[in-house]
Amino acid sequence: MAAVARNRAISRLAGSPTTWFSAAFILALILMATVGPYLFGDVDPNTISMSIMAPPSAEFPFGTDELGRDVLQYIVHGAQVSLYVGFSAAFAATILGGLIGAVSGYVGGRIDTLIMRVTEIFQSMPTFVLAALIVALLGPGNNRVILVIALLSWPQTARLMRGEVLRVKRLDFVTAARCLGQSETVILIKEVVPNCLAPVIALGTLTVAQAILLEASLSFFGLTNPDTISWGRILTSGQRYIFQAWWLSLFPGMAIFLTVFSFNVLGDSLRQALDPKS
Amino acid sequence: MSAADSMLRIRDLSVVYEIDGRELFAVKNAFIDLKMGEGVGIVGESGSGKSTFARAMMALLPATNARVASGVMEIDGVSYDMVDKSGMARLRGRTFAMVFQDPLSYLNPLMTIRSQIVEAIRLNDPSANVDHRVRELLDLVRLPQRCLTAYPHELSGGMRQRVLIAIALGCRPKVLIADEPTTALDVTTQAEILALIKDIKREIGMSLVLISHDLGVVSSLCERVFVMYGGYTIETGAREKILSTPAHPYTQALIHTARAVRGEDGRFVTLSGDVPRLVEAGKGCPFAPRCGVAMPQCDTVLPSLAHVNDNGRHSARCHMHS
Repeated sequence: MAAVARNRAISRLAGSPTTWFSAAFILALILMATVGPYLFGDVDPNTISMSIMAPPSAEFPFGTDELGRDVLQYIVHGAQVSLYVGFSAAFAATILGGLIGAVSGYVGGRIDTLIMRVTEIFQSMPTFVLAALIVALLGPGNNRVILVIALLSWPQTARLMRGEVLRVKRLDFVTAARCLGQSETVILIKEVVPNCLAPVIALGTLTVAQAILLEASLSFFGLTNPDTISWGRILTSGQRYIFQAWWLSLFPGMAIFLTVFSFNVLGDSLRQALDPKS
Repeated sequence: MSAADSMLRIRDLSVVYEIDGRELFAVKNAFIDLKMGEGVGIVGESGSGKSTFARAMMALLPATNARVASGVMEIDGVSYDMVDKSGMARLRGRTFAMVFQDPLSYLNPLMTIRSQIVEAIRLNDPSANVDHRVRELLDLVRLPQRCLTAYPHELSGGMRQRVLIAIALGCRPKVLIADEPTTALDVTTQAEILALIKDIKREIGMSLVLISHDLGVVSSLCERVFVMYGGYTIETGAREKILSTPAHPYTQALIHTARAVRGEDGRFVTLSGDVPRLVEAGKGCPFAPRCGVAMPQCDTVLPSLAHVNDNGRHSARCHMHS
């Protein structure tokens, strides 16, 4: 699977222009979030100017809002929050779900049944309502939002990981390792889990998109910290002026749409490229 | 045979599979004994219980529906009953190791050959000089050094089987259990691997249990042969005796088919009928329905294992000899 398969996976990814567009967009977004503020001269995005609700122009490519703030600056700084929340939540959910799923699938029996019932309870709850409720109770803050999203996203990773472990643990090389006298814990970590990771990584990418969307939704409803700039928050203020200043809604909306779309496409392509059966 | 030089001793082993609440015997009253440095073969067609027997030897029966119903099993003087789960894991590898039929599926696709061999060495001896041992093992299985950085899918079938053997030997086992080690290989590679196993067995004085459906393969490596049919050990004896004067009608038929003996009508002698399914197993001799010389009692009474000749070393489970 290693070197040759990896090359094959990459060349399969290369086949689709949509995939390349998505990968390029995400890369650009990451660059924008990390070095973007310096490129644009590290201005405070909250700087107020005299051009109030100015349409897109050479000076303000994405226009300005009701207080004369540059929407482009807002989007650049908002990318930091969106990506930070998206990546952290997806990372936490993948690690948590992966661990729980691996143990559940490998140990089996009552523990497996118990864990699966718990994931079903989590999956049957309306995600957004629950997220809104928890954030409303705990108070806003990026880390709390990450925690909430991670807590709501791990079950699907856990179920996927469990399914993969159930498949891989029956494979012959696992028996072979057991024949050598390898302990069960080492077999799980060294033999089983590495062979289960491909679809889990692909799902992780999709989770990033879900997390970004959930964060934007929470901000849109004003449930995140009002001091942090995020795409959802710009949308909220934009909807009040939608008939006077369309650019307040269009550009942050496009940013969310393209980001979520790109992560979804990339996740799907990754899943296909890493799946030996496709 | 004294107990001291006995490596593996199994008596009256029965293994049952539980399917839909019914208990089906896959192995019945099977037995084996193996001395230090000796090679024994277990021969039988698919469904004869030989692979289940091998798995029972490794104490690796599928935990969900199979269990040992009765029998005495001892390896290197240690009874299986006396060893707990982690003790069994320590015995595996160090005392006995296994080589399998399909080498690709028994190698981890994500690990290089080197790391898989190293793992086996470390398991047995954490302080071993790994580089030295890896080179030693590669020489032993006649593989070039450049294979070490390869992944399993990059090697040929014969090379993979050599790697599996190297991994099994990495633990310095006293007994090597080889379950159809050459079945997945083409004929020339088969001969090479058999010659290799033979050389290694002589070089390091290891005991060998070879499981195969092919009497020819078994007789090239093993001094003694156990023939299995329908879960029973039906005949055992020295290789020469089994090949020259087989006592059980099944063994006779097996040898005829293997040698492509032509019958009176000029056609090859074949064995009609199928291996008994576990469900159908009756009270009598399992081979009776296909046997050319079956007597009325064969359907009702299970023959016991009786000495044929060769000073009691050649026995068969057949009414003709009891």
